Amino acid sequence: MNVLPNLFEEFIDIENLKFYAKKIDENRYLGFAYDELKILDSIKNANLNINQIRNIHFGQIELEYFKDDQNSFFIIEDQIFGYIDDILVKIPSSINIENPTKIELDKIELSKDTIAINSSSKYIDNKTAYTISIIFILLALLNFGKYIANISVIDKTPIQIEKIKTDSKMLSTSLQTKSVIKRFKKLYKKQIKLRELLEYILLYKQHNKATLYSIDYKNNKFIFKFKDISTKKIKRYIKKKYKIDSISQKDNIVTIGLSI
Amino acid sequence: MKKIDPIIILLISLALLLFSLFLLKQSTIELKSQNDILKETKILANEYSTLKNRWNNKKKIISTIEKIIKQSRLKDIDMRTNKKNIIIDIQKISTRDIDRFVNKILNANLIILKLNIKKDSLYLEIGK
Repeated sequence: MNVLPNLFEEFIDIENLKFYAKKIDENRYLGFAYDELKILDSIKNANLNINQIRNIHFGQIELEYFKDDQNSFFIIEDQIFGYIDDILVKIPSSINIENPTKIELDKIELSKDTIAINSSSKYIDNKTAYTISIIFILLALLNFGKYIANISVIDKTPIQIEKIKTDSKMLSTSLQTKSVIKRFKKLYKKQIKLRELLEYILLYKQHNKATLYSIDYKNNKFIFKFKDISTKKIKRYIKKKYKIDSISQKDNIVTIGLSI
Repeated sequence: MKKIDPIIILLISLALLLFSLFLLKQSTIELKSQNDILKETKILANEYSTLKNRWNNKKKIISTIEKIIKQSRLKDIDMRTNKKNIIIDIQKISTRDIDRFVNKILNANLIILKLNIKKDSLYLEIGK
C-alpha cells in the first residue's frame, strides 16, 4: 500500500487521493487511486445520504465476473462500460456497441473489496475515529471503575467514624468533643502551673531555710504565709517569675497572694 | 441498516469520557472530604480518650488516692467523696509527712481544687 502513491505519482497528481490495492495473482496487484470528495459529490448528486451507503465497491473488480472472450461490454442503466486492455472504461454514447451484456446492479454478487469513505471530517479518517472512540470508552470504563471504588469507600466511612466515636466514648458531635478537649487542656495547663508555682516557692523555702507557716489554695489563687523572712528578698525572688497579687507583713508573718 | 457516522461515535465516546471524568472528580472530592473527617475524628478520639483517661477517670483517681494514702501509712485520714470532689482531711500530721504526702499528690495526675496546708494539718479537695 505504501508504494502505491509513488507508482501513481508518475502519471497523475496524487494530492487528496487515497489508494487501494487488490491482489490478483502471486506478486500481481491491481492498484486504485480515488478522490473521496468526488465520490461524495457523486453520492450527493444522486440525492443519496452517505449514511445510507453501507459499502463502496470498485466497478473494475465487481464487473470482472461478467467479462468473457466474446463480449467485454456491458450496459448498466443506459450507460455502456467495457474492458479495454483489462481496464474498465465508460464508453461514450456516441460509439455504437453491438449487443452489450445487460447487467442489473441489484443482482450482482459483490466482493469483499470495499473502501470506506470518510464523509465527516477531512482531519480524521474513520479508522482513527474508531480507534480514538475505543480509547475514550476504555478510559471512561476505567474512570467508572475508580468512581465505583470511591463510592464504596465513601459509603463505609460514616460507619468507621461511628465506630471510632463509640469505641472512644466520644460525645455525639465533634463540636462537643472539641469543647471538652479544650476544657481538659485548660485544666491540665492550670494544674501544671499550680505545680510549677508551688515548686518555685518551695525551692525558696528550701534554699533560704525559711519557715512556711501555711499554704492556702482555692479558685486559682494562692496565699502563702512565711515566718521570719525578709519581705524584700522574697518579693524580689517571686517577681522574677510571677506577678504578685498582694504582699503584706504583720508581726513576723509575711503574707503573699499569687494567682495562676 | 443505517450506518452510524464514526464522528458521532467519537463524540458520544468523548461525552462518555467527560461524564466519567466529572463523576470521578466529584467522588474524589467527596472521598477526600470523608477521609479528612475520618482523620480528624481519629485525632480527636485519641486526644479525647487520652485526656479523659488522664484527668477524668473517676476510678483511676480514687485508686490513685487510695494508693497514696496506703503508701503514706498515715492514720486518722478523713477521706470523703461527694458528686464532684474527693476531700482529704488529715489532722495532727508532721511537717515531714505533709511534704511526702503532698509531693505524691502533686506528682499524680490529680486535679487539685483546694489545698490548705498548716503546720500540723492538711486539707485537700481533688476533682473527679
